Amino acid sequence: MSLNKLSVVACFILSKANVFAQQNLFPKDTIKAQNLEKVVLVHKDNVMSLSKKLFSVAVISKKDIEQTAANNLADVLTQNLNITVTPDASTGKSTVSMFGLDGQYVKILIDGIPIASDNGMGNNIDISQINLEDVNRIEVGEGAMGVLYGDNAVAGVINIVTERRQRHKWQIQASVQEESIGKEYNISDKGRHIQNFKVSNNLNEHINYTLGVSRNNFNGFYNGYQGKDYVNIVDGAVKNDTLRGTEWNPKEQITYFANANINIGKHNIFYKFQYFDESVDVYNRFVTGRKQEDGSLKATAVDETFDTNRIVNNVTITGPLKGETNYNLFLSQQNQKRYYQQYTYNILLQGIEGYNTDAISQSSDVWFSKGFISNIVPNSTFFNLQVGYEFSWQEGFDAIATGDYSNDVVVNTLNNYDFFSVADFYINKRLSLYPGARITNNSQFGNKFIWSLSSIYKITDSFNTKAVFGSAFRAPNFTELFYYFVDANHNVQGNKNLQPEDGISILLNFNKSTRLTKQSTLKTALKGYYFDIDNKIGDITIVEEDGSNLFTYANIDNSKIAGISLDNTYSYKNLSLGLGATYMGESTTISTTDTSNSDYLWSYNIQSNINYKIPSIKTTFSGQIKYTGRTQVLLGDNTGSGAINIGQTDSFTWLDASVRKDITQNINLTFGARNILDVVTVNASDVAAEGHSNPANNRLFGNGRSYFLKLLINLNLN
Amino acid sequence: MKKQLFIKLLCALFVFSSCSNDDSTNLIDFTVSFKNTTTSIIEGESEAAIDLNFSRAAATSGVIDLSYSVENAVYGTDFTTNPSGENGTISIPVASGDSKATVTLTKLTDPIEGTSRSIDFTIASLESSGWDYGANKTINVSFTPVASTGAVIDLLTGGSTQPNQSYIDLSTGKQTPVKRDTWEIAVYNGTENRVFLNSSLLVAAAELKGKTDLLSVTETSNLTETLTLNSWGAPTEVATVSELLVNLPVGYSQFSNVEQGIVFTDSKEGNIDETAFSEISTTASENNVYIVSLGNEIPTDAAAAGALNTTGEHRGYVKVRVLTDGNSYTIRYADLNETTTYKELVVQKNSSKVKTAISLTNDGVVEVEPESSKWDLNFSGVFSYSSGGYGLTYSDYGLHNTLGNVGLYQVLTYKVEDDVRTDLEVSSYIDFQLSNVDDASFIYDNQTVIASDWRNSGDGIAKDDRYYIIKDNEGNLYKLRFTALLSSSGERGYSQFEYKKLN
Repeated sequence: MSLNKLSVVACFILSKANVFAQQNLFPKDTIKAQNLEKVVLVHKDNVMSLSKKLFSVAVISKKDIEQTAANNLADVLTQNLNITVTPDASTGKSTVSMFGLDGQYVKILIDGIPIASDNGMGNNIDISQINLEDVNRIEVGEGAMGVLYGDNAVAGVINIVTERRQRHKWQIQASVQEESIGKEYNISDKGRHIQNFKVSNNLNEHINYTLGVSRNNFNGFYNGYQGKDYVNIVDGAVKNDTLRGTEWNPKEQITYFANANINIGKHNIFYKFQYFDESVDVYNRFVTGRKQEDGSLKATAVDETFDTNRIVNNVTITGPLKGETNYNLFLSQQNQKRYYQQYTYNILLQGIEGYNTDAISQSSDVWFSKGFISNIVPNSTFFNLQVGYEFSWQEGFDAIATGDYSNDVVVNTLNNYDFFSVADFYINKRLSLYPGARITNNSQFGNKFIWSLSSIYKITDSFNTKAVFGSAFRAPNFTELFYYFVDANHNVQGNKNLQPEDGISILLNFNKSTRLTKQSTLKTALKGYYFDIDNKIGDITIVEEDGSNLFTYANIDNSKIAGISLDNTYSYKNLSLGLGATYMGESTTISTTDTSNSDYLWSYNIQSNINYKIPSIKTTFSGQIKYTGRTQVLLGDNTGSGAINIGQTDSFTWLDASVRKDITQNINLTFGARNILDVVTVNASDVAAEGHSNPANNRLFGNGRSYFLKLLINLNLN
Repeated sequence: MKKQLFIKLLCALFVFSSCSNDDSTNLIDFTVSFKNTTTSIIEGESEAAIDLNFSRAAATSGVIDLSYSVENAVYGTDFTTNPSGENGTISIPVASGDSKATVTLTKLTDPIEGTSRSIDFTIASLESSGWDYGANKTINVSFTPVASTGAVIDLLTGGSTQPNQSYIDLSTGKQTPVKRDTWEIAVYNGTENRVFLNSSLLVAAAELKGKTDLLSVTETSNLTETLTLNSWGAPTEVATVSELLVNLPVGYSQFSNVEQGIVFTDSKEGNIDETAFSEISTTASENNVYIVSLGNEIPTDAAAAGALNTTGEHRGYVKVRVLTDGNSYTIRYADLNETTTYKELVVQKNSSKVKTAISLTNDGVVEVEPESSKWDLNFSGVFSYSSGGYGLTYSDYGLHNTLGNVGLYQVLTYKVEDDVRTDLEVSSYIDFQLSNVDDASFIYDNQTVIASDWRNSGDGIAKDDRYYIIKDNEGNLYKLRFTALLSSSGERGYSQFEYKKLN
């Protein structure tokens, strides 16, 4: 009831923002100020940034994050034009897909260092686990970036840059955020409750540090399900109506973070620590109701808890080596463990009877080191060079990826020894070329060569073109390598001899910045892209000598993705407006089937945003809308008939709006609504079936329209 | 001023954030209860295990003290117990982690005909903090049989490797579990001379047409005629015994030629004229040699909760030739490549049983089926047969004793088509009574009416859309419904049903 009222307010605010947008108020040269700020930033922490020279990079600023009250990376990336965030209701994981390539092809970094994932480095990351409380900005780099970032950087790289220094001697920040999940909210066990606390101190001009903690308590989305204490008993027996549990599983995340920034002369040491703890509860829909000898009924369900712990220790050291030549050194130690508990929950007595499993189901230990020397030829106006290495040592296992029936939990060791170099050729004032190469030696599949070529051509000072050719590969994952399920009726096994998938991308960028009037500018970016993923891993059926069938994986498929996107940003005084669209097609060849499909399956996305600031009332209004068009995928056929099916996910639109107001100098309030169009499920015919059950005909995308209110208190002491 | 506000707000914030919920990890109360309130120890039995069930595994150790009172019985003369109850109290130690406790009652004498004798056991005290009494504080153990009018049967198929098949007599509520791997073939005790395979062990058999000399057959022998057999629908020419062995065992790739009637398993319906073995002739020269695939071992490793592990290593092959004079069977068998001697068993027909089971690996007759009038259902952890060109293996399989004249039919209460549920006009299990029984519906020519259709293994549940009506060979009528597929902690192989006598 009160929520309906809130939505009316939100709509009012939105329409109001549009009205304001057409008026010319508060002239101020904000663009100039922004440019200045960038120049300052570049020198400070560019070592942790994605290179805008070599790649096409978009930035999500701290302001954007604050405006949407985003707590984790999933909250903020839903509005990105070329990224689709795919949440999984059962595991609670959210993964990204970029240009139609899933999370295994996207590499996620913190300050230039890949995040240890379940069984790899940086890819297939659950982005809902990436807390944004100490983040300065998020950089999204598009295209294959294997030369600088190694394996799995096929579709692109997302780099999260930590806030390193602030102006005041002491900064203390605390915030609470209350959020509904759809229409569900109460203070104790429904809705989403977030608390953050952070202290930063500039100890002296050489040393500053930050300590903080962030807690995100998501109580699950019930959506008609009845929770963990529900059981339906009819005629003295349990009736399984599958209403137990929740639609989206509840989870609680706590992130502790600390960092220290130390300057010794011209050398800089940056240390970052993070401890992340997440617990996801999974309630079984099915209840076992056993009769007791006395005629009473005992209703139990086998429930699960997944508890993920991650510790990150990152050190970055930079400084001048000789003259203008710089060294950059990255060291990282990361450890991730997932504890799995399976227990018997007695529904009528509302307690746990005992634990079936209480074990570590996944573990990975990572040591990482990367170093490069840049600006080796500082005095040449024609040539420059950067050379570097990247080593990683990873050891781990994943009992869930290898399947219930796998007797031996495979402990896998994966070592990478890479060397890379990028050269700069400044042909003339307008044209520059940046060829690069990397040699990878991987303990699993041997040597790989990766190359890239970027070029920038400045047509005028405000109109430039950038072409980026790059290659990268995706390493096979644990399931593909080691899965094992063999019994009387099944024979499904991973393939230890899989090779990486080879990806090549071509990106063409045209960027034009036009000053329309003294106070307004229009930035236009036109982008064409093409990806070719060869030796793509697909599932195959092999008829063994005895005539039985083995289901396994092989490097047999090929995928081509082509597309074009156009992005416009219009700024006028305190107003900024964005409008973008992307049109993309994917052509897949599945080699196992006789008929291979080479037609492109097309889809398009449209994104628009508005941001309007009224300085007099210290209030910013913003709205974002993204239309994700119908996507189609080619599905293999496992009935043996050789037929090819096309599965699709219908279109959906994501609309968010928020208002942020500085109440006093120290207190500000953000109020907003997510998913205003109330998306919960989207019709889909490409959802994989689980086990022997029929596939669902829709995919869960959202929790319905939800509202949030965030109160932030910031205290600066000098 | 502002600082004060800030600090106040900060305090409020922490009070607020500390109210997190941490309820789900609380264990349920620990209670001790007799498994049931009555049980019996009858003539012919010398021991009874009396179970004390716990609501969950014990987190601490302790002691349960039982007192007992007797009717026409003297401790040490007529009965003893373990742990001892000589001084009037039975103290049962419980270790941390135990999920039940057991008292064994040993009978020393039978009661005099016409007198009743019973013992009441009562939980007198619990020596550990936090323990509590459950539903059944007292149990009455009778020394005379009590007729069953209904019961809850916790099937003794034995867990996720389903090691047992279990025979159930509804009129006494008695369950007889037998390990699946104790026998391979069984001979029929009726008028016809027939041999059955152990379908619960994936045993298969192929007849070698025109071969009657057991010892001359080896792996390298040629078949008298080349067979065209299908595996995965693909035809294969099979000309030698070794080629036949490739896909003789039960599995998706098992050979068959349905058009020509070549199938290497018994039919699932269990009728005497649909067996892999042809009828055994009283003319010895008409009885061919068979290659018997001995099925698959029961695995030793339990599967994870919800999953099964029922099919272990293949147990090899033997060659078999069965002869009969109409009253007894002569079973000659040897290892496949044995050419000098064979083993021989002579088994008399036993009219009190439907089938007599034989072990070809332990060389003798095995006690498997109870007397034909003393079992109605055979709940087999595993069941296999060839159908439509594939050898299939099922689990949690219910059979009824059709050859022992037990009839059964299924009542479906609703059906779901295209996500639309239609309730059928029949009584619910609870409302079903004697007058609802339809005598014409009892099925006597197909033992697999229950089969594995009663459960949904993917969801781990017993279906609630069906129940069964059973008529035993003494005319007793029962209704039966399955209540659970899984144990309370989610393991397979601990299914449960309940039944009630209707007449």
